[in-house]
Amino acid sequence: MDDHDLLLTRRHFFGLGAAGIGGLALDSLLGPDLLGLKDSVPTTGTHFRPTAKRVIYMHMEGAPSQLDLFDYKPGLQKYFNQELPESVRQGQRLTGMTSGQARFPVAPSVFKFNKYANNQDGVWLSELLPHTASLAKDMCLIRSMHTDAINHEPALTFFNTGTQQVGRASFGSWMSYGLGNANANLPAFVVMISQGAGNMQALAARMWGSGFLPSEHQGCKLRAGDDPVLYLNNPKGVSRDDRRKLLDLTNDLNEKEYQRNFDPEVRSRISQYEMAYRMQMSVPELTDISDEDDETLEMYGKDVHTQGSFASNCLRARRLAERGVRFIQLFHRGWDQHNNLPNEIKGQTSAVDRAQAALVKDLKRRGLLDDTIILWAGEFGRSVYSQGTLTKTNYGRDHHPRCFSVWLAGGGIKPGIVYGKTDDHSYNITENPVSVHDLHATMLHCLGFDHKRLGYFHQGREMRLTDVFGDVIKPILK
Amino acid sequence: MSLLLELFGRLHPMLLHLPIGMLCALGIYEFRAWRKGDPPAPRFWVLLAAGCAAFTAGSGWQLHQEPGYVENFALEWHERLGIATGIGAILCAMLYSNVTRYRKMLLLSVATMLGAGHFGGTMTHGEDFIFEPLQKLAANNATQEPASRVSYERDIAPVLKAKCSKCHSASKQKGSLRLDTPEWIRKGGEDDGPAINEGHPDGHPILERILLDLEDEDHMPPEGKRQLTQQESDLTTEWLQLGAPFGPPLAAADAAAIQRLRDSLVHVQTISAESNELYIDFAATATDINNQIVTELLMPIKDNIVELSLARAIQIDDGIMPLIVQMPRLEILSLVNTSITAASEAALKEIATVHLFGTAIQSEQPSDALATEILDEGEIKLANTECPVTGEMIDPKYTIVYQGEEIQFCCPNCPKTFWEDPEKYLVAK
Repeated sequence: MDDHDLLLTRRHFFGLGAAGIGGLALDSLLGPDLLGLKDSVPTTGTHFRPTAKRVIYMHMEGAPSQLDLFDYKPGLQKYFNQELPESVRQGQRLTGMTSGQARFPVAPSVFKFNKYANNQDGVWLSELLPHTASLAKDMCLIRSMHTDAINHEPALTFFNTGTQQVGRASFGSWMSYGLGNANANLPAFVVMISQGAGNMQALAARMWGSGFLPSEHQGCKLRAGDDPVLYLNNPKGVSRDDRRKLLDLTNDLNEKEYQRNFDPEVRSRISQYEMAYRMQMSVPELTDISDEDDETLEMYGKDVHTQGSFASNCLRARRLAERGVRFIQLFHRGWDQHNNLPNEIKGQTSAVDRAQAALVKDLKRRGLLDDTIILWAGEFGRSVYSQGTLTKTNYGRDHHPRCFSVWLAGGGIKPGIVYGKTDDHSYNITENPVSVHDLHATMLHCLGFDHKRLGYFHQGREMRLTDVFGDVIKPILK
Repeated sequence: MSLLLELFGRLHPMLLHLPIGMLCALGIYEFRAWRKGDPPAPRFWVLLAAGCAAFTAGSGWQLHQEPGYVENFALEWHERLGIATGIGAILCAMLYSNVTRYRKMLLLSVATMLGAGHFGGTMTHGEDFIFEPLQKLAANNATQEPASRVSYERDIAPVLKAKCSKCHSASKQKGSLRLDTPEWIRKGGEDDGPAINEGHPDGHPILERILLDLEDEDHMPPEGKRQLTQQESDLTTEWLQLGAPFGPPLAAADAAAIQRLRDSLVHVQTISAESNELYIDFAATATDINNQIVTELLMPIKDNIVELSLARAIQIDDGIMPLIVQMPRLEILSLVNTSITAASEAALKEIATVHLFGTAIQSEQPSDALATEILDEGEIKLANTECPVTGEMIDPKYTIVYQGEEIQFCCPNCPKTFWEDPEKYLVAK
């Protein structure tokens, strides 16, 4: 057996593994429609009828403080500057940033909370989120999230791919793989990033990578500015016809290569060339917001006119949702407030509050909230004890994985509820813990998948987003 | 004559058990006799076994002459080994006088007979007949197969009639519940409300009752009454997981029509792997489509459509309604930002969910106001963060209680100062 034969056997094996065992994406992998302008969505996808068709995932990168936004602890005020009791911390590991601190003084939030009417007996939310508070009857606030990781990189990787180690497929790429897209002219998974006001952590492109899944399922990043996708436009002097001819020839050659070596990545490449060609038409139409009326733009706030802002990305997210894109992920950076939290967090909330509330309301009036899951989450929470000097008006908060708050809305999630409780220090969960795997399993359930059956054969075993963990949190389902 | 031969052939399945028994018995007898040095079995039994074996082989041969047998490996080897057994048994009888040769021949005959028997069994019972129960066990542990379609009329109604109708039908309605027609099942009883959660995979009260422990007093049917068999319970579960569909199973939509839709960049998706119901979305070509294009594309599959989005299709107007009203299963329809008018409003009322934002029918303005009801307001009430005496940061170690309130100080000296004139320092604070 020469090298080529070896390669062929190996590729053959992977190719068959992908189609045979994954099964779900059979059409999109091996179907005859890859070469033409055709819809690449499998007819049979979900395991049962979904309550959601798409996801808009607003990731607050850096980890927002649950104590200053969602997890109201009025009792903490009397513990101001007192040492965090060991009975609460219980030897919890700390990051290198505070492990050397002599004291762990309790820092109650300086922000006022109000109790808003929801579909239960009300929900306490911070004065920093007045617009978001107007979603009280639509949102499901989970106060009992927890994660395994204590630093940004592994925690982000965990939240996005279901494991702390790099290399697995991201949530959005699983959606693209399992559901395909409802719009053949746009990628199934789109990512947009906005810069924050505070301390920003690195954000690697593999958070929206496809890992072991065929690479056409990776997230497509839309950039700010006039060129949302780099090199998408034809160079000067090249017409669309010329481009078509060029692609036809390239695709022929690639298809011949595929017949020779059966490498599924060759077909991924063909489909990506075709997608790019179609996006030459669809992306300018998507990002041109001149057809939006003033009243809609007003809803999102004046930042909506600043390309690359969170507000602008929210409006784009709605436009993507109504165009059938399956997984829309917005990263807003700058939530890592180790110091000077009370000032920095205001910059963050003022950037997101109005726009995210507008997005939910805009989806709702268009009937899209019914089948869109909104997820708003950071990668972990923040500590009740102050990092650095505590004063009456200023403090910092370190990373805290044991409990934090996220909220969901739409797509079959029960509206207007609060799920889970934490202790008096917002340090440990006292009721209904929700792991990252549980959250993934629950969202997959809404999307029509049994998380135990959405798998892909790789490295000798079936891989899934929830690995071997995760339970569907039934109480938060409609 | 041929009739008699046919009859003879048909005796094969009955006859074949005789040589099996006799050859096995002779084999065991001779093995024991050989070990003990006893004489061989009486000649009569050897002759009888040989006769039976020969008759059986002959009848098998005759049976094979009948049409209807598919040549395959099992049949071929069953026949070969069967005839070999017949001949072998006759040779045993002929070699009887030489004990050693007779016994060797007998051993050979038993061996061929076992082979013939195995292949014969494979032909009648199928492969792995014996180990099938073990495979079932393994299958139960393996991943669950997608459910096949269950029909209410065919599969579920008979179960309900047999196991539930004594207490829940026209003659008797315990708990005000009847389970004899879809309407009554939907209406439900006084305890649980509707017995099913139609259109959903879970949340069916009737299933919760069935799956409760037999000892539980809410279990149905009650202890002592005839219970659902495992198969009936599985079928019911499967039906309920499909969302309790009462209609006959829906036929799959025409494949050619679906391909035409796909070629036109229309999104077509079954709402789940087992369903033939369709979700159709014109998102990719919304601005290009019109009434005529949509009608032509969707008419062949109109029965299968449960969800349809025509959002942003500005050329779609009331002319689409003749198509829409012909979709019996349509549940969710989006006409957002289309040119539909109030003329269609009455017809649209028939559909469970219709989205009409941005049309002449409904152009709801969102309220930008913070229209949320505030039930209660929190307070920022830090007891005191500065020492009332010096104005320095407090240290929780130095805390006193004054008029029921905790007051904290910066150092051990300040409380003494404070006690000298509490009111002065509190006012200062």
